Amino acid sequence: MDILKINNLFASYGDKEVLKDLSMNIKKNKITAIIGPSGCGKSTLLTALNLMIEENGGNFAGEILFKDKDILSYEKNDIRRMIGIVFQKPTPFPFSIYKNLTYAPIYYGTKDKKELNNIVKATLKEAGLFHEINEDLNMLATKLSGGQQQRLCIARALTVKPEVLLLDEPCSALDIKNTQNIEEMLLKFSQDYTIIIVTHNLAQAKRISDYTAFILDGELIEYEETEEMFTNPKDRRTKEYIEGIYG
Amino acid sequence: MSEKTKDFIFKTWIIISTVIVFTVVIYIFGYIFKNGIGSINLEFIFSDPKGMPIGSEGGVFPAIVGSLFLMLIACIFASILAISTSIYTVFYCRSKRIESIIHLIVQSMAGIPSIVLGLFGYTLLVLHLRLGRSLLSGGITLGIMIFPYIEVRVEKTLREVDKAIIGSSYALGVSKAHTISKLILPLCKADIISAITMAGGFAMGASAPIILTAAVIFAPIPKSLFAPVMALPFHLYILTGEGISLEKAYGTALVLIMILLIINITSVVLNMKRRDDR
Repeated sequence: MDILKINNLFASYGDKEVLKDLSMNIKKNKITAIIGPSGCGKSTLLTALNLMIEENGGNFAGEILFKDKDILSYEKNDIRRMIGIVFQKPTPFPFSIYKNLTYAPIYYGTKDKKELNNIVKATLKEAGLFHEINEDLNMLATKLSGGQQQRLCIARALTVKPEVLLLDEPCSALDIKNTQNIEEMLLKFSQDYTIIIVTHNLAQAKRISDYTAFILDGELIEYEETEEMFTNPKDRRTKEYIEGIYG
Repeated sequence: MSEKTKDFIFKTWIIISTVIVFTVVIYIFGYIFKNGIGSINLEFIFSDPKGMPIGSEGGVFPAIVGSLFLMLIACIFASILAISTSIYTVFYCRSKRIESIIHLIVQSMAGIPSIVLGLFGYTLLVLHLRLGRSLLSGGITLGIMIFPYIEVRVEKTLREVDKAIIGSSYALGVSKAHTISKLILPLCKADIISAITMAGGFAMGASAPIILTAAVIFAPIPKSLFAPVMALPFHLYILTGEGISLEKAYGTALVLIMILLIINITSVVLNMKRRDDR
């Protein structure tokens, strides 16, 4: 089943057109990787999907359907709750770990202390952080290591129970061990969430994704099952990129 | 001239300037301390002014309390307006033109001579709105005076908050209002309080705005917002201007400067604490 349908999407920042006539459908509970050289519009595509593009001063034309309904017909904040995003640079709030994870649930009306504790525990376990931090929930989130901060941000995105999780090069600032942690975590998540991950790292796309989309200069060049894409690319440009000809 | 000589002249000039400023500040403090310490004792701090003409004997207690009250009201009034204005300019104002108009107005406000503000407060608050010469009129007038100082600093602090962190809050579907009140303001708390205290010290030392709006030669500790008050800078002005007692005037000046010093140190410490937190 397709949870997201993107039809003829154009996106731009001011005069600069970043995405040109992009159409693709995203399968539910699968991991879709988006690859392409820097500045090709990968991140813009992600930010369009949960309307964060507006906060960054961009806009888009075309149609994005979430569960067969135009995302613009939802409340902006509802869309962002259902389609969560994790950015490239870890952005923990400079509060305690506990406060990072209760921030959004409290906003959505969860007041019961016990329920909040459960959310914190559950999401920390999902992100594989619970034991690492020795259950010290009052620790300042900014004191965590880079990898832990990023996993905390993923946990924070999970606290509002999203259906789709967008990840914008979540591992680009992390070492191998932390990258591995996050990859394992994402593989586990795909049972419950639809994941779209933008990555520079082709090996990563190959390791974890079910589908891969290749974008070049704002255009979707090829969108295939990952296996097929990497063994038998149909487009010359995809082949060249995979073989390392473009940056 | 060689680069080396230029460098030397520049360095010397900077060092000399710094030394001059330090000397002047220390001299002022030392001079007031030397002349004022003689009249300072518990009685001076904790009793009413007495004698004929009033102030030639006794203490300055009602003036200390009056000044603190004036500062408090000015801070409350100014910070509510200043924080709201900065939140509007940073997070809600979408037009660059309106933003620059706001900045222009704030800057012009900072340039209004304080005696003119006093005159304005007297006409509008004391006469038209019939608040009388009172704690409230004086507090509001001082509030208008310190508003731009608080606004500029709070606005700067708000702009310094990491955009990515704010974005993460929006990305969770959290509204702007909630993001501002539960994430951004708590992050800026120490800096905002520091700005308010610093401005409060400025308000406390000002005499021109309160001459016409609040201060009187003698009043007991005010029991309501509508009562006139004594204030340290005005008391100092009367003691010297009317030639009542130079000795008591130095004492008053020392008390005033000590209070301001405490306020400013608090402000600096808060500011340093905030930098450590980040």
